[in-house]
Amino acid sequence: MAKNLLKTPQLYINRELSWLEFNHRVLEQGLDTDLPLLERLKFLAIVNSNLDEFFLVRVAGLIRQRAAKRGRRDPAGMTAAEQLTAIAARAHRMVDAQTAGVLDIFSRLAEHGLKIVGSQQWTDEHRRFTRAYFARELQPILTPLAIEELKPGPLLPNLQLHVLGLVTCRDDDDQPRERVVVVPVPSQLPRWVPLPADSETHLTPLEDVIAANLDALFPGGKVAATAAFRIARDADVMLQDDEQIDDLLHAMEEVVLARRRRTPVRLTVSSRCEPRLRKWLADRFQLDDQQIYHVDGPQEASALMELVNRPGFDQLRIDEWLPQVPRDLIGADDLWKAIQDRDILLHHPYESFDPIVRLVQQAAEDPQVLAIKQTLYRTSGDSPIVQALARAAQKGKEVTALVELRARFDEWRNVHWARRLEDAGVHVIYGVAGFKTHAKALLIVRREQHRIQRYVHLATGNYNDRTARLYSDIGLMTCDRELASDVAAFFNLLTGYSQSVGWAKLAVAPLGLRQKFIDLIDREVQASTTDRPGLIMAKANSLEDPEICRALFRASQAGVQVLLNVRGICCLRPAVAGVSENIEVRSIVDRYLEHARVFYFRNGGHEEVYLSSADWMQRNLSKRLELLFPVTDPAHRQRLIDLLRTYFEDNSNAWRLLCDGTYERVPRTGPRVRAQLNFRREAVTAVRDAAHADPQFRPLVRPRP
Amino acid sequence: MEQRTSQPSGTVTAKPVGVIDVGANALRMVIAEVFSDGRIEVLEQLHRAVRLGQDTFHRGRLGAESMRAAVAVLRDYRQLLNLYKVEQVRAVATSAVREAANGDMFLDRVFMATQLNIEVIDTPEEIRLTVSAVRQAVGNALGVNQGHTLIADVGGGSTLLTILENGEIATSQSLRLGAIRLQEMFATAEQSPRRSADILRQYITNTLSVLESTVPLGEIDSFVAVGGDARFAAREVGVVTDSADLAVIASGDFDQLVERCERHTAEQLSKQHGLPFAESETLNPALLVYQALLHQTKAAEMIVSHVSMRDGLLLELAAEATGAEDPALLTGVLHSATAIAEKYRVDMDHAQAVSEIAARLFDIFQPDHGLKPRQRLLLRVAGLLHEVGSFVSSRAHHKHSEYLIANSEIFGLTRSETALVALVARYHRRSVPRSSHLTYVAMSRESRMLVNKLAALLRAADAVIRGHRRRAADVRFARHGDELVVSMSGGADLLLEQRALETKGDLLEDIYGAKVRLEEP
Repeated sequence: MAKNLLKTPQLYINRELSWLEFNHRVLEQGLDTDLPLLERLKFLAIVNSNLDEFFLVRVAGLIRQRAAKRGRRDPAGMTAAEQLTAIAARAHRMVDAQTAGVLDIFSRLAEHGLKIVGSQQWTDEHRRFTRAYFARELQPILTPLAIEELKPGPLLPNLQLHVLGLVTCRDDDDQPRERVVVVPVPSQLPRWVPLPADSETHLTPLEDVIAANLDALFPGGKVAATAAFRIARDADVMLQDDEQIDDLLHAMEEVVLARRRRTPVRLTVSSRCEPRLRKWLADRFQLDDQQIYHVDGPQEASALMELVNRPGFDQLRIDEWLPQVPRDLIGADDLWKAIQDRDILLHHPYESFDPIVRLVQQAAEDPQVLAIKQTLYRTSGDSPIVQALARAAQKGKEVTALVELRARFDEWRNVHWARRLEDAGVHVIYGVAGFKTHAKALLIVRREQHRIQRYVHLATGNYNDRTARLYSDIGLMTCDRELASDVAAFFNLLTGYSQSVGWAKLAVAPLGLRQKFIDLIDREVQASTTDRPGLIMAKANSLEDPEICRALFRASQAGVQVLLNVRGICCLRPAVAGVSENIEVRSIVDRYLEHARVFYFRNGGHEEVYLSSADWMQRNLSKRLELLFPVTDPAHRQRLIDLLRTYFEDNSNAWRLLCDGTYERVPRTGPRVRAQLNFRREAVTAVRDAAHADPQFRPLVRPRP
Repeated sequence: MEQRTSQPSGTVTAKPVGVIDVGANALRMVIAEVFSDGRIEVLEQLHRAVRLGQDTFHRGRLGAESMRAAVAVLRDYRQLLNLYKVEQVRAVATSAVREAANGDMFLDRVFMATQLNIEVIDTPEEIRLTVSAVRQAVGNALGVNQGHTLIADVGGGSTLLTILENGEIATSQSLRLGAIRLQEMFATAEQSPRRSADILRQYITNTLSVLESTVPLGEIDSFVAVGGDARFAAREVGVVTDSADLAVIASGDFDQLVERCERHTAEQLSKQHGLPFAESETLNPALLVYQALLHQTKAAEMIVSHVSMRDGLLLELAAEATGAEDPALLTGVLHSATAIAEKYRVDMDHAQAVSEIAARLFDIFQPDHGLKPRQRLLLRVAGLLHEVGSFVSSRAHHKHSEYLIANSEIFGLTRSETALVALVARYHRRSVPRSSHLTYVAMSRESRMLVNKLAALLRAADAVIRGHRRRAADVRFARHGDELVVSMSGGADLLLEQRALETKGDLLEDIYGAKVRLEEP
């Protein structure tokens, strides 16, 4: 088949629609009656927050693209306008289904003593109670904006919930006059107000309490109608030209501020919105019908998460799976020695993230440690790793931290860390001009008795102890000399100490990682024979890079079996005759967010397994600094091969991508396999077996006097 | 010699060392660990493009901008050396600094900013370092130990050529054919790429033609290319060999690569191959030099070795740590000295005998002088060359020896080592070192002591071998306390030796407190 045929739009699925399909799978999880109610509610909350971010970034980008009128088409052949129309249709259906799902769960929660009472269902007692609550707790901190009289009009912050009211007051001439007022719902308050109830929990939305008592803010006024709304604005504001920026920290703050003023892209508003208010909103934000979403219930994911995280109601939740001691570290007291003895493979969150935190903490205190270098992409609240790095610097060690300021929506948090680290004496690098640093790497240089030993940790997930409990990721700790030299060279590249000097084991984006992937795929084509076909198994969050897609098409055409476990976006269209019939795409959506990137190549029997920070996306391979590293320990390699296979055996939470771009659930028939449960069991079994296999016989001796 | 080790047996300890190479188009550093068993493990390799050569080869001096850039890079390097607590650093600079009128000023600035003491080395030293690394890497692979092998290193400033005969270093030579120099000379950036290539090719051919007498390219069986541009070629069209350090490029494949590259400007090359601009700019000149050399040899392929002068520096630091030296290099040095001696029609039997006896005396007095094997080598070279001055005139021939040696290029010796050898040779007769001897007093105290210690041995050796047709094997030494007893077989009369010792044994007595006594057979 001619080469250019592999570029025909029919072979590709639009990226945004593929993403919406992913969010739909999350939604399905929220509707899955096998799951406890609060777990379902959590998934529905995620659907909501995912959509928010999607509009803020992706849809905003398309709107700008449409405005530029360049008529550019995506690999699937769609213009920006076509995509926006398709997205709107799909997203409206999704929002409706999500809202219905939430209301359904609310009604079921009531059976368990957790009752959501909207203002329509309030009793007189409720009304009295909320009136008093409003006067006592809310009125002093609310700031109503008579929005039409303010010049310039006030800026309504992105995604903040507001109560909108149509209020009739008497003006100076004592004539009745209708005014539109806006009251921001304070974001620091709980989203639910507890109503008096005997033994049950009855909650009412904060915005209902405000709306119902709006008249109290306008003495003599009459409230004709109210509604709650949120406006989403274009947040895809990035630094335009890194080279010209002297003070990146300052520039970053500007970007965050600028985000507030950008074009509105979506409005969510209460479904029973009075037509005049609705028109007012549409005019004010210049939105067409397609961009206005009616929501019957809570509009914010945070409101739903507040319910999910509410103390009590444990029977409505899933069991907690406590992270276990990693298999490779069972019985290891000395982390340094354990890593020297053999590579350590870590599978989070089944296995604890704690050893990584401990490694950095230990390095900070160890007098033999000379230097610590680390990338920090998304770091959690009071990250113990950040604290340990600061401490190491105070103790006089060379500490280099690459803080990626441009991790979207985390900029503020990152600016904060960066300053704190710098104050402690850490050599902080604020990213690399033109490229986001997405690689996850840690290097510890330790002067040991007879030589210098370097400890390396490389991973698929961020150094964030909080997300390490929610995202499934894989990491490797090693003393391998070649990897250590490569990682040292990688840091020299990031810090500008050196240009690229060639790599022994790593592959680095944007310096050839894409080519490395393509070479590995092409090699599989070469090694494939009719009696022994090649096999590629890959696990990633997204597959969108057209060059990688084409390489995979070529592999399929050559008879290579391609098993792809792609959680989110997948632009490659499978099951196209003559092009992709040997490609099978599955997606797992379960308790933990699938986040690891694992790549397997049969290579004519000399199997190779790699881990990476990179997805198969254009931005990862061209615009980010990413790493790919081999896993060479045979036991680890087998473990990862088994892991990849397990995902294709899953028939509990697995979805299969069809030729039309939609997904169908892998039928729940036969013996049930659930990949995440398997990994959980393996982790628990490993710890239990070790305890049994190696009983500690301690002779009891007479205590010393 | 007995190996004295203080650490418990079986424990190998390592120490971090650093080497820095201030080249014509880049500053490079390697940090490695050198183990007590001689193993070297690289910890970090760094590379930053700074075009020092462009200024020097164009205007004869280093420009302010590139000096500033170089100092900044070296500051970073110093930080990394500190991180690993490296105490032993060898930093060297080649043609770009060597040929710059303001090179010293630059080195001084570097020292003030970084405490790095950069040593300017000249081409024989560069060749020696590179060749020792290549020999180590190539070993006996690919038949380079049979027949004639040419090792070519096209740098920014010069092209270094070495010929091995059956694996032994036979001769070496440097040509002012560096890639930056060529590019500067012809301002190739302003011509069409094709036209530039034609001009360059013509110039390279002309330069190589003068080689015919000294370096017989037509007899070369194997061609080994060293350098960044050769490594580029290996990445593009090379075939990997069993050894990770070597790749092989068939002559035809290389021609095709050159053909493809010479059509493009540096910008295009940079884009196509993902090269830093600084590297793509020198690519074509360098490839053309390799190509011209390759085609003048009999070799059907180009062997690319991934090692560099930095590996040679590391080997040397490792040798210092373990006290071992590459025997092939020793041979290379002695070959080179012998060739020079022959050029000046020295009586080689006598010269060899003196050289050998001096070395034996060196070993006998080892406990007294505590010198290193390297200095033994210098003494042997001085022995081989001490008579070259007779070529000019037998009167005061020791003085002629001094300047002839000082101005010779002895393979494998540094400039300062060659100067030292020249002085040792000078003092093989007549006056002992005096404060009125300018070249002598110009040396550091340490070097002056060394001259004395070695000259004393050389004088004694020259004295005992006075007699006609005396062979080194005829002489025996025995040390009894303060007395060195010399006995000779061969039964000749010892009058000559006796007289010579009276005039030449003085220094030995002064320095080592040893009296020489001739014992009748």
